[in-house]
Amino acid sequence: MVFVLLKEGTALQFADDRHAADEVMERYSMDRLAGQELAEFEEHLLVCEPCQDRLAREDSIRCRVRDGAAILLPRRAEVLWQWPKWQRLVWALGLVAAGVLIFAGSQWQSLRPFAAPRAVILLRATRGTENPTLAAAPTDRAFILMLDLSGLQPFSEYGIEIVDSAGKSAFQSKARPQNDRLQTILTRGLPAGTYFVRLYSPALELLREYPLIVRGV
Amino acid sequence: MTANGIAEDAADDRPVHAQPGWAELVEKIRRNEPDGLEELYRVFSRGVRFYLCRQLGPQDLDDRVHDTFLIVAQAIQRGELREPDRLMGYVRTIVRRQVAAQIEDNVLSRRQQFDLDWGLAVKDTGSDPEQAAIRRENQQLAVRVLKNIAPRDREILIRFYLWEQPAGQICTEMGLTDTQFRLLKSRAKARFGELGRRKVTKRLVPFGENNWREIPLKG
Repeated sequence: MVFVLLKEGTALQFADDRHAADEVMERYSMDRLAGQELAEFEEHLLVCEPCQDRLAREDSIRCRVRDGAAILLPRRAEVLWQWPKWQRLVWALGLVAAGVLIFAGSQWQSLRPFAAPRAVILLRATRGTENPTLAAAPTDRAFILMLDLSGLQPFSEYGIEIVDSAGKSAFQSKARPQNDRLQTILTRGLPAGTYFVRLYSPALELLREYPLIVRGV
Repeated sequence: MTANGIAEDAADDRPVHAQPGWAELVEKIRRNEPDGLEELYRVFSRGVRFYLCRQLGPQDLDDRVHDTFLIVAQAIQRGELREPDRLMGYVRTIVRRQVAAQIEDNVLSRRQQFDLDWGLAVKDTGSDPEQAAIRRENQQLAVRVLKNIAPRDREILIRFYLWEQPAGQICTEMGLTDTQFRLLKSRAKARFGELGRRKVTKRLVPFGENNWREIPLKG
């Protein structure tokens, strides 16, 4: 039996008696494998216990890093915000001055800040073991909604609707998929509550529905 | 073996479990031979269970695995598998259909439930105090482990797993070559896993001669 998975024209996957490479395992864990690559990996996974164990470990690391980092990063931001105003100002001025100096003496590209983007809420169809709670977004804050399209019929464009618990439409948008994912930005966020994110085909056929909780951080 | 040194530990030389001849196995199942069904179960049961559990969670798992095997075996017996060499692909298709059907059921039942009771939209599993406590504890453990690894390792893990930045972007913004990135990521993951295990082990205290009891982690 020979498996050859291709990425950008390069054979990177196992042949004959080999297992999946770490990179393939990571991409699968992050739902980034698609098409033939996905099919071949999953077929291998069905009969390969070492790869099942490796994938379980990969899922666990990803889940824990996400859990831990999601707490760690906002905490740091809050601590910074709690400093007295004058201290923040002094620090800000100092940082600006340092930034200007460094920028003048080196390449800008290598100094792009390690800045946190908006909250990203990833919605998957179902992922029982790794996602014991529902996807949750912060109340009244902008966030990026990312929908996993794995297993769906591909369309060039999808309709997205968010309805509240009474079925009232709270948000509507259209988006084009990229890498089996659909992304949309809710610039004004949503009030606290339970919502359902609905995904529609261009013919307005309901394809999938994801629950979403919006609550205070 | 590969040149970059990363794929070596992953794409290693460990042989995949010896595969039976699919055509032979399919023929045995077609003839309804018990050892054919046993073999089918032995080869696929762990993988099917793993896949279903990963996609749908542990509830009703035994029933789902059982249903899947029934469907596969009956389909083979009816001669629906035209290419016996494609048995793995066929099993995968059946398992994926099972997952899709279950998700559809969930959506439907939630909608029916919603129609019946306007106040009950969705179950927030976070409200279960025990689950919430376990999740909180796991999160705190993950925070402690992240704090204890080198800042650059932490940054790589956060960029890669939380922000899902592509390797190229991480390399550019952190000034790393592709090989450096893969080595650092591999090391960071190993360190994260090792520290996590160590911290969990610290929480275990002897209880009886051969038993260990888990005690809550303080702070």
